[in-house]
Amino acid sequence: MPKITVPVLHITNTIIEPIIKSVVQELMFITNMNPIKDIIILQRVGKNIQKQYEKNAEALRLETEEHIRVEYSLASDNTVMDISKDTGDFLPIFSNQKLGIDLTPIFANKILSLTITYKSQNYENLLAWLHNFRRLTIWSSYSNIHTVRYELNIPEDVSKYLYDVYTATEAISGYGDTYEAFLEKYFVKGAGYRLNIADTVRKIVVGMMQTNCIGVFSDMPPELPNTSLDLPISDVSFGYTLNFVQPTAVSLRYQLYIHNQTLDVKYLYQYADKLMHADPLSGSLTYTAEIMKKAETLYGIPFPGRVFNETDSWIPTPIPIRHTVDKIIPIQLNLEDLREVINLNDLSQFDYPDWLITEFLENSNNLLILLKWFFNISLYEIGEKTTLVKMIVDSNGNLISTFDLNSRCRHYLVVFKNYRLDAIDFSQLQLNPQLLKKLFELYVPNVNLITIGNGTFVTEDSLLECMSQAQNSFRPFYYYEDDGVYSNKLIANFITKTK
Amino acid sequence: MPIFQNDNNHRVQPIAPIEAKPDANINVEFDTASYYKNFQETGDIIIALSGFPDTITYYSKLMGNDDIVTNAGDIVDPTLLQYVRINNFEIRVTQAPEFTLDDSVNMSSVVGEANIYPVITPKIGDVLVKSIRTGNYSWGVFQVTAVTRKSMYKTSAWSITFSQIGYSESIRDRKSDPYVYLEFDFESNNLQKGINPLVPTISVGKYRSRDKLRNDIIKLYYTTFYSKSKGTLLVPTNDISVVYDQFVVKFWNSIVDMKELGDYKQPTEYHNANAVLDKSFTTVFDAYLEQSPMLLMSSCTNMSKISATAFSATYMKNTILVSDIDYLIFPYYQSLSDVTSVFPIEALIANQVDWVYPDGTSVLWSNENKHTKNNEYPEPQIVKWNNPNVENPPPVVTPLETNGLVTWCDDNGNLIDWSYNKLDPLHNTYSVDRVIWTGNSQYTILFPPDPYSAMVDYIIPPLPIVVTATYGNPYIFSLNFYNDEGELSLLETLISKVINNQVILLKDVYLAFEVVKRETLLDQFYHLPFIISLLQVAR
Repeated sequence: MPKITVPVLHITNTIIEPIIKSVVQELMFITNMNPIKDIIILQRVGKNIQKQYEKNAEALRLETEEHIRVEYSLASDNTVMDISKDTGDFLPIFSNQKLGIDLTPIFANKILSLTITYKSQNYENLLAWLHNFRRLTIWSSYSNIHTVRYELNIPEDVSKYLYDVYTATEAISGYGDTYEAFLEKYFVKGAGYRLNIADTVRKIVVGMMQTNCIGVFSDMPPELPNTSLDLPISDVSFGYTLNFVQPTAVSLRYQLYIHNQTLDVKYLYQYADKLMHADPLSGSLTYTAEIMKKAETLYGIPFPGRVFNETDSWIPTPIPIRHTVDKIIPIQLNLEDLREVINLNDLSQFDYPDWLITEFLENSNNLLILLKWFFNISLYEIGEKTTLVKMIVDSNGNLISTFDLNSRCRHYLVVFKNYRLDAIDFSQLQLNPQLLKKLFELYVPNVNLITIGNGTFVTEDSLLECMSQAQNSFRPFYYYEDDGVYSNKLIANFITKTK
Repeated sequence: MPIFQNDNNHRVQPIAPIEAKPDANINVEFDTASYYKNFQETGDIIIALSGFPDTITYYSKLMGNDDIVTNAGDIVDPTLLQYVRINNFEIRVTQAPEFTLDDSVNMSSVVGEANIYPVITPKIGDVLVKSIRTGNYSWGVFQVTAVTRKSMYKTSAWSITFSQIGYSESIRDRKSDPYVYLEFDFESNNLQKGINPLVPTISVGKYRSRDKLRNDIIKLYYTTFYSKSKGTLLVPTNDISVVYDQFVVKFWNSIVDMKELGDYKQPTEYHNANAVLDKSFTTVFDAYLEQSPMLLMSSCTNMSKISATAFSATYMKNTILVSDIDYLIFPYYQSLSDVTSVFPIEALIANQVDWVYPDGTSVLWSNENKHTKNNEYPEPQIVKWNNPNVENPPPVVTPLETNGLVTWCDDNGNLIDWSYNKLDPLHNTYSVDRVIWTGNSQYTILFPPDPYSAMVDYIIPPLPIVVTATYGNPYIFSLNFYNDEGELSLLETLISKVINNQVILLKDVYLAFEVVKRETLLDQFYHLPFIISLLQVAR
C-alpha cells in the first residue's frame, strides 16, 4: 500500500500553547494560587516580543494587576529515540477499511521547560504562597500527572485527498452521504471543523487528549519575592518541566482506485521519501518505480517481479507458492455486466507478445490453475477482506467471474509466472522446439536444447538457471519464500521425467 | 451530537456585513472587532497626529486573547490568520521608508515609521501595501514590526514601525487576500464629523467604488442638466422654455464640493428669487440637510411653474429678472394670501397680472402667452385648486375620454370640467391641475388654458409629479413621505431614514440608483442629487 508522511503545521498555535496554558492553570490550583485570569505566555524568548491584546484594546493592561508570565523552551527528549515515522504503535484517527485508507498521527517525545513568574501587589500574600510552595516541593521527587488537550491540524493536501475520495465514492455506487457524514463515519470522535469568522474557510482538526504527562518542579527552590522599586508589585518565579509526546506529522495510507475510478493524486507525491535508504514500501509509488528502473539498468533484463502500474504498489499476499508476480493489472469493471473481467487478447497491450497471447488462448483452461502451465492468471477483489475470484474462460477467451463483482472494491488481475516447471505437461511442447525455446527464453536469455528421439528437451543447466533466476530476482524486493531452496534431487527427477 | 452537522450552535456566527450598524458588536467569542463601536472623543487626538498623509491598504489582524504574535509569513491557515482589509486607509508617515544596503551580500532592508489614527489597534504582523513607485512593481508590501501606544487615554493613536517584506503588483496584496474575512473603506471625511470612518465595503455588481460612482453621477448630471449659457442647472422640459428650480441648485451646492466638480463650474444660485415675498421657504432639501423631521413637516409640498416675471421687484446681481429664465418652480398656492397682499400694486404696475379677482386671486401669464394674446384664444376657465389643507377631501371624479377630450363628471353625471387629453404616458395618470369641482371651496381662481395644450401631444406636467401622488402633487415625493405614513418607495425610505438620523446601507443606495437611472429625465433631475448625497452617507 502506498504510504506517505505529511508534516503537521501550526504546532505552536494549536498544540504547544494550549498545553502550556492548561498546565499552568492546573499548577495554579495545585499550588494554591489565587485564581488569575491573565496568563501571559512569552513566546520566542529572547526576541522580547510581547503580545498586543485586541480584547479591551481601549483599556490599558496595567502591570500592577495580578498576573502570571510564562516563558518556555522546547527540547527533544534525547533519552528516547525520536523517529518521526509510522512505527505502527499509534492508532489511526481516520480509518476506512473498505477503501483501505487510514491516517495515523506520528509523535515525538518532547520536554517543555517552563519558567513561571507570579506577580502580585500583595507581598505578604506572595510570601505565604511561597512558604506553602516550599512545603509542597520539599521532596524533589514531587511530580504531577497532567492531562492536556490540543488540536491536530489535518494538512491541507490530506483533506484535499479525503474530499477527492468522498466525491469518488459518491460518484459510483455511492452511499448518499454528505461530506460531513462521510468524515463523521470514519474519523475518530473529537474531529471537527475550525472556521474563520465569516465561515468562508473550513479546516478539519482533530481534538486530542493526552493523559499521563509527567511534570516535575525544578530542583532549585524559588527565591524570596522581589519588589520592584518603580512599581508597587512583587514577583516570585519557579521552574517546571513537562514531558509529553508532540504530534509532528500524519502518516497517510492512500489508495488510487476507489469505486471503480482512478484518482489523480499528484499533489501527494511531493511527500515521498526521497532518501535512497528509504524502504520502498513505505515510500510513494513513483519512487518504487524509480528503483525498479535503476535495477533494470543494472542487471540488464526486465525484472519478472515488476509491478506494471507505477502508481499502485498493491501486491497479492500471500503469493502462491513457487510463483512470482509477473504483472499486476488493475481492472475497471463494466458496470452493466459485473461478471465481465477481461479478454485474453487485451493482454497484448501489457507487453505480452502476440505468440504468447495465442498460447494463452490455447492453454486457457490451464491458465486459471496454479502450477499447470508457465503462467497463471488470478483475480483479486479487495475490500474489507481480500477475495480470490473464481473465473472461467469461454471459447472467445473472455475471462468471466462466477459471481457478480462488487464495484465498491478494487480489482487486480495478477499474472503469475510459474517457476516450478515440473508439473507442466510437456508432451505437446516437445514436438515444437521453437515454441519451447521461446517459452524458456522468458526466464533466461539463452536456452540450450537437445533432441532425443522425436522430442526436444531443455538441458539440465538451462532448466536450473531458469528456475533459480525466476526465484531470486523477485526476492530482494517483495517477499521471502519459505520454500525457496531447490534440491538437485527435484531437478533430477524433472529431467528424468521429461526424458 | 454529531460533530459535522450543520448546526449553528456549534459554530462561530458569521458576520453579515449588510447588517452592520455603528453601535453593533460582533456577536462571537472573539471579542475583538472594535471597528463597529462608537467613535469616541477622537477630535483632539486626530489634530495632534503628526506626519504627512499617505494612502495605503491596511490588513489588520484579528487576534483573540490567546492568539500568539506571528509574523505575516508565519501562518498559512486562513482559520488561524484572519485579516480585516481597510481600503484607502490613511496613515501619517513620520519617517519615510529608509533603505540600508549590506554591501557584502548586496541585500537591503527598508524600514519606516508612521502614526495611525485611533480607529484601529495596530498589531505586530499587520500588513500594509504602500506605493513605492520604483521598478517593475509599484507597490511594496510592508509588515508592522513594532507598535507604540501614543497616549494613556482610553482612545489612543498608535505609532508603528514597518519594514518591507515583498512586492505587489497591485494596491491589494494578493497573497493576503485569502485571509480577508471583512472589508472596510476608510472615509477620511467622517473623521471630522465624529463618525466612524470605517464603513464596510460592499461590492454590488459593477459598482466597485462609491467614489467612482459618485463622480460618474456628477458628470452625468452636468452633461444632462447644466446650461452653459444660463450658468446653472435647469429643469428638463419638452419645449424651449427655461425652467429653473432654485431649491435644487441650492441643495446641489451644499452637497457637492468644488473639488469634485473638476472642470465644471458651480451652478449659479439666483438667490433672491423669493425676495419679493420677503419670506423663505423650507423644502425637503432643507429637512434632509438639517436631518430634521420637524422641518419636513413644515416644508412646502405644492409647487408650481411660475413665470419669472413675477419676481421683478429687486434689481440685483444674479436676480431672476436679469437672467433668461422663463419659469420658476415655486411654492404657489400656499403663498397666495401673501401674493394678494403685495401683488396688485407691484405686479399690476409691471403688467404681469392679467386678472385679479375680487377675492384676491389672480392669474399669471407667461411671456409666451402675452405674445399670442391677440390671437384667437379660448376663454379662461375657472379652476378650483385642490388644497391639501382642506378638511373635506375633494369628491371623487371620474374622467371620461372621448376623442382626446377628457370630461370630468361628478357622481350625478353633471359635467364639472373638460380638458384636452393630458394623459401622462409615463405615469399612466391624469394630471389634475385644472379640475373644477363644486362644493365648499376656499380658493377659486381663473386659469387661462395653455394655448399649446391642444397642439402638443404630450405636455410636461405643470407640477413636477415625480412620485405619483393620489391627489394633488406634492413636491418630488409622495404625500405618504411628507405625512410619514403608508408605503414609501425605496428612495423615499432611504431619505426618510437619513432625516430621522438612522443608518442606511450602501447596498440599498446602489439599488435605488439602479431604479433612478431608468426614470424619466424630470425624475432624474430631482432624484440624482439625493443619490449623490446618499452615497456619501451610507455605510
